Amino acid sequence: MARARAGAEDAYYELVRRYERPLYGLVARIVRDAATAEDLAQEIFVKAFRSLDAYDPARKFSSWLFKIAHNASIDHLRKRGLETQPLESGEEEGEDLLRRLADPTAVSPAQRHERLEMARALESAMGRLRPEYREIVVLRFQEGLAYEDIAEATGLPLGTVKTHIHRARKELAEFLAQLGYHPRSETRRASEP
Amino acid sequence: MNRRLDDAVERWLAAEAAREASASEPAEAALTTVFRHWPAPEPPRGFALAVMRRAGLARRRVDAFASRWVHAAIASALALAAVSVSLMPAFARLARLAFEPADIIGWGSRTLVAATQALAGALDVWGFLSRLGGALGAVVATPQVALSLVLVVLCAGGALRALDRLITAERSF
Repeated sequence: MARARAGAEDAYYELVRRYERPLYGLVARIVRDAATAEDLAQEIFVKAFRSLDAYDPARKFSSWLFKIAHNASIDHLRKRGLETQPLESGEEEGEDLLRRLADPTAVSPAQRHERLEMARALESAMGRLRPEYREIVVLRFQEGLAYEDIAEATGLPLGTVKTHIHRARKELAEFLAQLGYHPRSETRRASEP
Repeated sequence: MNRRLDDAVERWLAAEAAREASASEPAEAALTTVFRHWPAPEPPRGFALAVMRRAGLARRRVDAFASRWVHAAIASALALAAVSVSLMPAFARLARLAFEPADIIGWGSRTLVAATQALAGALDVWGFLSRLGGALGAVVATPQVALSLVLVVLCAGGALRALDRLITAERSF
């Protein structure tokens, strides 16, 4: 980190390599478009590099980077008028991304199809969440950030972060239920006379 | 609609359906598992390099072997080598006919003498340089000159450091 701040190119390259997956994953799930996510994630890294002097080494680098990503993504969505491009729209690019998101460890065609369906449903449910909920869900459940780190990255009070996570989780489950995904026990209860 | 659900999704949805305050933690843990089994979007290949280029940091790597001209030159050289090898026996026969063994031995001896003379000349130059070095060393060994040299080295070091800082600052913006 110290070398990157001193302007060492190889050190910054290492930083980009270390954080490209979480950052791209976050941005892609917020903006929901592969090309936009690539462009925006690159822009975020460039912005971070140019503001390295402002980074306080006492703080976590990931939280600082996610804060830049949060601001850039929210700006982008605002400019785009908060419109979202659903991945399940059937467009070629969205379908391709979904295929990549579906569990690659699935072996049989039936299993692959099932996982693809699941990925499609999860993507669809995520797409219906508000962007700020989507971001918090990704930071919490995909990146495994603590509530405090999420609060730092998003600039929200800790209590609001907890409330948002709770509501986002509930909404996500509701959206999945609307798509036909229910826990087996509930389905069994419903089918009993 | 009833579909088979992945275990993680099943556990998560069951925890969410529990509607108990205590189910919040298991629901969070289960949703974390769902995300673990649901791979995140991956950045495209060469993403980091593209970032470096965009930040104006990546030096363009020139592949010397990428040019068609280099390919053509290598192919020509290989073809020439193949032709030369096939013609080698004929050249050897011609050389044997053109030169007598005595000529060859005489030529070898003359070459050896010339090489020895060149080596003696080089040794003379080395001797001169070592005498010069000795004389300079005697001058530098005096305290005044040594001190001046140390001061010059310190000044040069300071100047280089200042220059490096200037360049680094410029590169960051």
